[in-house]
Amino acid sequence: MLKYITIPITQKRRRLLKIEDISCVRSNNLLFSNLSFGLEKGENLEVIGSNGSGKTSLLRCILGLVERDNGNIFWKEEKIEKARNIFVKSVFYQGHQLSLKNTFSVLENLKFSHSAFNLSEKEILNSLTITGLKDLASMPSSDLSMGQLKKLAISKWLLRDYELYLIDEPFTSLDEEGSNLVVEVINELNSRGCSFLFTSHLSSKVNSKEILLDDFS
Amino acid sequence: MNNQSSLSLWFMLVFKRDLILSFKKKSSFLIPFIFFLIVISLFPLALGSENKLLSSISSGIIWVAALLASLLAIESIFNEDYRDGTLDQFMLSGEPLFILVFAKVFAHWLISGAPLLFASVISTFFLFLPEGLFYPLLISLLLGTFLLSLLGALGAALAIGKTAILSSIIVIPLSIPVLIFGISIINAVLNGQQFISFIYFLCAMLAVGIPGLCLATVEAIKINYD
Repeated sequence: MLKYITIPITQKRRRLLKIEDISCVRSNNLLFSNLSFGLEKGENLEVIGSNGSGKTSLLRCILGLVERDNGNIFWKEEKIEKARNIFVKSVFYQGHQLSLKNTFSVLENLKFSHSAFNLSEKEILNSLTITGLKDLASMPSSDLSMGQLKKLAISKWLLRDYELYLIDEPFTSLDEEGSNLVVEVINELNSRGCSFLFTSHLSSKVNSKEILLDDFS
Repeated sequence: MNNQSSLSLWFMLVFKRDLILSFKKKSSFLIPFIFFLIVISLFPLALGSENKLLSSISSGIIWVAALLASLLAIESIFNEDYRDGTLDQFMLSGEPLFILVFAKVFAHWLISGAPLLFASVISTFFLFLPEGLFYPLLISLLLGTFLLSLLGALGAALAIGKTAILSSIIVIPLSIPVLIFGISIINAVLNGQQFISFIYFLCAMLAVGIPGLCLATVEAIKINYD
């Protein structure tokens, strides 16, 4: 005999992020319109699009760094404008610019990032161990290659667990080993309940839902 | 951890970060210092070493040189962080932007404003200033350069992502009251008059300027950010 189980409302999976019919215009140029999607805890979403399709603008729209033209964004079922203070504390963003200073050493770049706020040096070094940069901790960042800088930026993902990571083109400038590292780190953070929303030109190896942004232009 | 200690840690993180960055660059504190001394040393060369003439216009020379020297570094307050994406991270940190702005202004003043106090001591020899002017000059520059850093931050915030000259064009007219009171202190000492009231005026401007200009800078960043 079938037994019906009622899931208490508190145990229901709450949608982490919900995008509802958003549009974005930049310099009188419509980038995308009526874009809708949702993201749940531990889930990944890959936004694929050609150059200028609005991938970066989409991430910045979600973060409130760029104004959207219409539509709604919800964070845990609450309008993002209302939940902004909680939202920004729960989200990690990495744009095209990696927010790294050339004059800082590898370690200093992590130490003085806002993600490392209140963290010990040991915790910071742990993230460098995972990305293979621990031996370069005292090296000036200006001496790093682009791929190594990308890995340094990935070290920041590991400083603390955020509920959602918004990453702009995480695979750019990385060799195969670096790309595998990105996939491994995403898988590891997924297993801890973190979600990823990232952009790319081509479909990646990450287990994720995909959206073709060019379909919404 | 209570909210207050979290705020002070946030302040220290930004403040230490900006100080270390500036010390590593060296040019950020050496250029305003050297520029100030060069500008002041040009006057005895151009006007001749006539003691009376130089000391009569010394107040204007010192304050205009201090203003121009402080303008050299204001672009770096926000634009470098804007270009490399750090400002994005600060905007999304969820920590109060007011603390960020104040920490950055304080670090900027220590790096570009405070060295001018030492430079002004050296400049007294070029301009044949009387010994009695030493402390009033230091006090006026101490208060005035901090106000110039606050105004510089506002100008830099209004010119985020734009050319460096724009922030200077914004700051120069806003600096006129600081210039007037700073010059008045030196002139009062040279003419044997009471100068304490002008120092009180600068103190009052600073008391209003710290919260007022920091809040205005926060709003300018928010409005100008895209």
